[in-house]
Amino acid sequence: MVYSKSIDENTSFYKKYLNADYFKLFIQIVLGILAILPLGSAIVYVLRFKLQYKVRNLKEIRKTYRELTKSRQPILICPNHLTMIDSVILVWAFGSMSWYFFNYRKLTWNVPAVENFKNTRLRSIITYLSKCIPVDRKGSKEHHDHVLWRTIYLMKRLQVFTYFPEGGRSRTARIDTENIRYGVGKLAAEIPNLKVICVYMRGDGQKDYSEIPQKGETLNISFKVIYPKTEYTGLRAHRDLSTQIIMTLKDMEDEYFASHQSGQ
Amino acid sequence: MSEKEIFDKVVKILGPYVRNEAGLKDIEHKTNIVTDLQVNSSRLVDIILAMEDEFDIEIADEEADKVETVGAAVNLIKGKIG
Repeated sequence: MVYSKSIDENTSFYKKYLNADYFKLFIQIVLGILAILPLGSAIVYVLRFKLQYKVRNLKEIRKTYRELTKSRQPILICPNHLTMIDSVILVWAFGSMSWYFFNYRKLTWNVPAVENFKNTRLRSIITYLSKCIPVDRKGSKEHHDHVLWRTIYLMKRLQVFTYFPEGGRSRTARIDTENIRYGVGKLAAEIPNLKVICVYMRGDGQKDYSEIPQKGETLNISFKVIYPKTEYTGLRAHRDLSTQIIMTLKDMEDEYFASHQSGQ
Repeated sequence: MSEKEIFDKVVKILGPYVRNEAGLKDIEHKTNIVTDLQVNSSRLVDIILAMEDEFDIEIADEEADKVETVGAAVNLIKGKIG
């Protein structure tokens, strides 16, 4: 469902869920920290050596990410979405596993669709240990509210989150400005002083959306920071804020293609 | 404004978002906007905002959440414009 009541931490609904959630999230974070070095290293091994991915200017990207996440304020990462492992690649690109171990709050949470990993126990365990809050896209309004409220709860406590504002992989392989989804705008409306780090990632050979980038792919990543603001309220605010984020990604995409066509 | 006029305007607003064109021909009060007309649920926000603009009304999030059928939209608007 699309709509939700506005978020108020004093409501009984909020308290009911988050009081129960607090301990679960705490345990998830503790187990995640313990698992980050072995699990993270195994994932990086697969990305680097099995799939032979490379990130262009990796050191520079990690330095930029460290700078961008220094400030102690809610941070939302909004990438474009072309493959099913975009969030995994971004985590690898943004920092080493040893850095995450000491800066665990900066390892981003993700909200993956439950159908993408519930089919095997191993995937479920990996996603649990990788700061994921699964969402059932066909779930009830209450379920969607619950996920949203957990997200806001964690973000207000300075946990970095990744949300794909397009809602799914782009079927046109370009940022779709005609079918903007407003979930990310709702999130932005609920969190004052939100810093949004828009991220555009695309492999040299990525012509269409896919499950994973092709083997040996070299990935390009760029950042742009915005602080979305709106004079509207309610649904109009959600639309306005989402549009600001999507249009920023669209500008980044235009810059990407302009620079790649000119051979830069 | 009569209920028929409201209904016609609502149908006009829905038009650009409808993927099941055949559903528009048989549209009635009980027609479900998402399942019968195959409107993308993400576009419901645009439809609600278009209704606000067209009828010069304000629709709260909780009210919008209950707009599942064409009739629900018409009744909501009718109640607001009196």
